[in-house]
Amino acid sequence: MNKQTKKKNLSFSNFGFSTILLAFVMICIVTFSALSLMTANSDYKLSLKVAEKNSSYYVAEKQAYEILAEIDLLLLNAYKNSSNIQEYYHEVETLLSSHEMGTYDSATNIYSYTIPIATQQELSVVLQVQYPNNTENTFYKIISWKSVYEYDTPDEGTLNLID
Amino acid sequence: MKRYERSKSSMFLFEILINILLFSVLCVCSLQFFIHSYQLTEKTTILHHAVTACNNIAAVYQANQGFTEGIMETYPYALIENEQIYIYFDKNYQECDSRNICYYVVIDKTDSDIPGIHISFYKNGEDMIYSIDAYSYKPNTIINDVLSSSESEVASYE
Repeated sequence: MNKQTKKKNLSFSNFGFSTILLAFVMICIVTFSALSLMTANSDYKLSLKVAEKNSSYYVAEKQAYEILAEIDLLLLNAYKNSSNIQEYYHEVETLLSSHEMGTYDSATNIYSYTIPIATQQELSVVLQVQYPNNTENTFYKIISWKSVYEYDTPDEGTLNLID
Repeated sequence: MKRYERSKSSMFLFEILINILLFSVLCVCSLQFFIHSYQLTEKTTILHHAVTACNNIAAVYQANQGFTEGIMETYPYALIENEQIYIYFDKNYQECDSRNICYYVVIDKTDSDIPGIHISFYKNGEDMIYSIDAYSYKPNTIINDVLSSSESEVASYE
C-alpha cells in the first residue's frame, strides 16, 4: 500500500511542462519577429540606397548634358568657321583637344568624357563627331551613354597552393 | 498528504500565472516588431514605386526631347494646373483620375539653361516621398541655327 502511494506521487506531473512549452513557443515567435524586422529594415535600406543612386545618376546626367551642350556649341562654331569637311575636322581637333572635360581621338573623331555618379560608379559618354551633310544632321552622334562600375582589379599574381 | 497536494496545485497555478504574464509581455514585444516590420515594408514599397514612377516620367520626357506633350500623351488622365502637370495614381500605383487618388506626381519646369523638369512623388495628404530633376538636350542642327539667328535678327529689327 505504501509503495503504491509513492508510485502515484512519482507519476507524471504537469508542473514545469507549460513553462517549457511557453519558452519554446516564445523563442520561436520572438525569433521570427526579429528576423522579419531585420529583413524589412535591410529591404528599406536597400530601397533608400537605390533611390539615392538614382538621384545621383540624374545629377550626373545633368552635368553630362551641360558638357554635351558646350561641345555642341563648339562644333557649331567649328562648322561656321570652316568652308569644307577637312577644315571642319581640323577646327574640331583644335577646339576639342584643348577641352578639359574629356579626351578627343582625332583618328576616329571620337570624344569621350566621364562624370562621377557615386564611389566606383561613373557615367561614361562617348560621342562620334560628324560633319552635317544635310540640314537635319546633328554635329555629333551619341555612341555610348551608360553608367560604368569601376572594380578594383585583383592582383594577377598566382597562388602557391602546394606549399 | 492533503497539504502537499494543495501546495502543489497552488504552485502550478502560480506557474501558469507567471507564464501568462511572460507570454503577454513577449507577445506585446513581438507584435511591436511585426507592426514595425509591416510599416517598414509598406514604406519600402511606396519608395520603390515612387522611384519607378519618377524614372518612367523622366524617360518619357527625355524620349520626347524635352517636350512635356509626350507626358500628356502617355498619361491621359494628367492635368495641367498653374504650369504644373499633375499625374494621379490609385492604391495599386496605376494611373487614375482625380477621384481615386492615393498618390500623385507633380511636374514643373526647372530654371536652368538646359530644359528640364522637376518630378515629385507625393502620398495624398502627406509629405513628398521622392523627387528627381530630369533634363533633356536637343542637339543643334544647321536648321536650328539658321532659325535662331533669323529670330534674333527679327527681334533686333523690331
